[in-house]
Amino acid sequence: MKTTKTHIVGKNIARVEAIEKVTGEAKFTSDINHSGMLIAKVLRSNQGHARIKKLNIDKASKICGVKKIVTGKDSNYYFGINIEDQPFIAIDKVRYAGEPVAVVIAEDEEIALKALNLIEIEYEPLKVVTDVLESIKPDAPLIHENLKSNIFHHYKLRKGNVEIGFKKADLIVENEFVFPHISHTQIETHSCIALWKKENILEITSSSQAPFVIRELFAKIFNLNHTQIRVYVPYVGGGFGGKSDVTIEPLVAHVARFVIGQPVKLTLSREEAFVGSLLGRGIKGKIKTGVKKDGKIVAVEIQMYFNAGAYGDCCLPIVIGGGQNAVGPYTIENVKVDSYGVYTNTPFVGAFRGYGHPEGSWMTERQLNIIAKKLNIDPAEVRIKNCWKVGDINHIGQKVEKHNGELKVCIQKALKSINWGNKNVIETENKIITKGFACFMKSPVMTTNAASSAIVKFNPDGTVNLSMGTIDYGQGALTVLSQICAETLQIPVEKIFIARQTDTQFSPYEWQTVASRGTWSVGNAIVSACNDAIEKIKQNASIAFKTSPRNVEYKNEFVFLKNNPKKKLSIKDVIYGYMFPDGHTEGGPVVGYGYFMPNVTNPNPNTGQGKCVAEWTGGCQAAIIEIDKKTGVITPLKLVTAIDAGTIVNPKLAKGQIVGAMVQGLGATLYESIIYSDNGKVRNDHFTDYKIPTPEDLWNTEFDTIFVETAEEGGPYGARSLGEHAIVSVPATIANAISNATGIEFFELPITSEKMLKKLKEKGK
Amino acid sequence: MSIKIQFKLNGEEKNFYVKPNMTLLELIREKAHLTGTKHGCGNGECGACTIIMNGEPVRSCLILAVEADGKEIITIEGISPQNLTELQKAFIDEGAIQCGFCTPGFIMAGEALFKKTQKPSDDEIKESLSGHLCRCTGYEPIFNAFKKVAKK
Repeated sequence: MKTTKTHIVGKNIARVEAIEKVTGEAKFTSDINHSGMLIAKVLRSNQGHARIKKLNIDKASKICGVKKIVTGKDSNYYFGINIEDQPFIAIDKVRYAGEPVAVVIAEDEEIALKALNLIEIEYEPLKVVTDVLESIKPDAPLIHENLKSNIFHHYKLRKGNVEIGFKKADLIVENEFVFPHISHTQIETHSCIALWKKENILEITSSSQAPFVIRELFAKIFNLNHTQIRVYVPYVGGGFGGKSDVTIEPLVAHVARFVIGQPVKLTLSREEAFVGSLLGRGIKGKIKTGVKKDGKIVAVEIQMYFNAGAYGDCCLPIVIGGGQNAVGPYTIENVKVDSYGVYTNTPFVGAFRGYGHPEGSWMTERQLNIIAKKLNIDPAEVRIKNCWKVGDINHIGQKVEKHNGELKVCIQKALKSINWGNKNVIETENKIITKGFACFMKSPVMTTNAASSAIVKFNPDGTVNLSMGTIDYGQGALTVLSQICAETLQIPVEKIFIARQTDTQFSPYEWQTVASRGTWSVGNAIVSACNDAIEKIKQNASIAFKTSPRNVEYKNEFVFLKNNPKKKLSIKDVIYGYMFPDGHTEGGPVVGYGYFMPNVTNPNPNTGQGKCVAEWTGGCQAAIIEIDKKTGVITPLKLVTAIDAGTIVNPKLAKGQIVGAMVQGLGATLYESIIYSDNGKVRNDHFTDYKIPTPEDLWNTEFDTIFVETAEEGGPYGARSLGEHAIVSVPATIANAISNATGIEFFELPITSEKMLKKLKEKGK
Repeated sequence: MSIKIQFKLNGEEKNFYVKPNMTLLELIREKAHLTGTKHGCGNGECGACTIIMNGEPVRSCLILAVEADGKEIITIEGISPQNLTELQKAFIDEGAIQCGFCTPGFIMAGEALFKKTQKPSDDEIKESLSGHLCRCTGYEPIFNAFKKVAKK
């Protein structure tokens, strides 16, 4: 709960690990080398779907310095967290271009690459399907032949009765939308080191968001207990979901088993990072919306087909989360959503910042603009009329509470920032300047037992070591969590040292660093741990004061008697127990422990209804863009996010997350998509062909980040999530701006300058 | 076949025996064990491996180690071993760092710029940032950090 006055929560302190990062001292996995370390290189399939007819490693194995070549013949195990559908290395057939078919372990990279070239492989091509709607057709090739269909999951959300709802509608609008596969392109590619020790202990160092998930899965795969697996995570160079769950770790751990006692390192090349880890998004969807003349939505029906790629394990929860949140922050009486997880012959899909929400937003928020236009009412009015209000029962049956935030205020503030309603379109001979906006909402999609835990350990000098299991891959968790710790312990933040690295051997449990949970969930665990430490300080003090701990008060590094505040001691006198004048000491070192467990349940499998969401964060995004009529180039002049994320713990870092997310969303809007050849090969696996936003693209952009701070009841000092949210509705915001000025409706991303120019010419602009 | 090369690395004369196909980035990271210079793409597209060679910011992944012979090379470790530079301080103050993986490359681009011209224009700043990719920050705080130093 929010307290009336905070000292360090709400302040802009500098990132705690900043000096390490600005000097190059910070060590990432690829910077770490062990003595005797071997290098792994992966031979990847150049076929999208094929049987392996012949695989000969004889010549390659003879190269001096090659320690082992592992192929699909070495294991017939299929792994997964949700679905066990993935082999370490392709067995008999390949399901996507880029799938590992052999791994060379050698003394150095040059030897490994030389051996890779000498592996002989022959394929018998099978029919390739990379399109999700092609893949659900009855005559589509089966990606997994033991199944009857390529659909591996179907999530259903049912509220009211859409058939009755559509009968009440004055207008029904139906549209189809496409969000292609995109790549996270963290500037640090994935890297992992695995060492099997002779005593059957597996040590992993990895650029991961999820060391405890890796441990859990490896215990199952390798039949080990959790103490036999140690996962260490140094600094991570960007995640965005692409290093969550498991990525390259199972492959590296599997091949390292063949060289026991020697660490094996695999670092993906930039090209491999496009095919050898996770991709994001990739949906085709249909939306049918029924509205009254005044803009009130009476029914919505949505189908979403998630192109999961060759393996569905990491995509399955996105199918659920995407379907669950597709209607956005609107109260609609009749809702029917069907989302499907579908196998295709592409690299597999996993979490990408936003986790299913940008997919739904792209449909819903575009649809609302189109509806407003058809009804000839302001698109803001349509949103305000339908958006959540306190007391509403939302699409999954949860009641909207005051502390869920002020969406309407966010809409008003975002629109004010772009001066909506005043010169919405300015057209000159060569340029069009136009405005647009869209709402967003995001919930943390997670397991029902997604726990956080924290340990605060006092040192004799009154400083504190804080341990938790979340990974700071740039989002600022280390700093924000230090602030929450300092606030609760009432000590200067400089006295807190938060562990920069996570190690499953020492760090307290954390499910994984995803879903924008850090500030909220880990923050709660830290508050609980600090309160536990304060109780223990009071216990030690009660020995000194010869009274009950109930009579002891703690404040600002001092303990004193409640009824006699003059009788006080510095905590330094009691945090390691209290020493009487004769040296006799009672009590002991203070270590506080705390945890947080979300209070949620699984959705009803037939209706999707249930208390499945722990908190919601919503808001409104807006933009002013310039369209160059001669080139089709779209330049963002202003990008705005108004978000009600509860109490903001560190405004500068929070703004950094919002701006970073908006720009990442801009990439998906204007430039980014994975392009496949006919046989399923990724054709744009370089930054030159897969363009992400560059400094030049943002040079003239003004950013406005507006925080509306409605305190979250279940958050530390009233804080809730914000890391992912500002990516969610950027595509719809930009496309709505284009539509507002030109009448051109985009349904497929990205809106490249070529596409823009073509449409402008068709319109005679 | 190894070739002997000699150059000044962060102020110290160094000798290395290198293969002709070794890149300067590999030499810096694997032979000189200076891992502050990052490998982001290996194709000169991301700027993470930027170092200063004879005063110019260059992509060390695109330069062969043998080309460093007789040159003067500065890496992120050699920029200011004792204190933080104005640009490093500005990066911290402006929140221009998130994951930190691209940061050394950006800093090196900036240090080369500010060594050449103390008060660079906006266009000069923009040019110096060209070819540097950051996936976290959206660049705005990086621009602010550069502009802050340029104003001093």
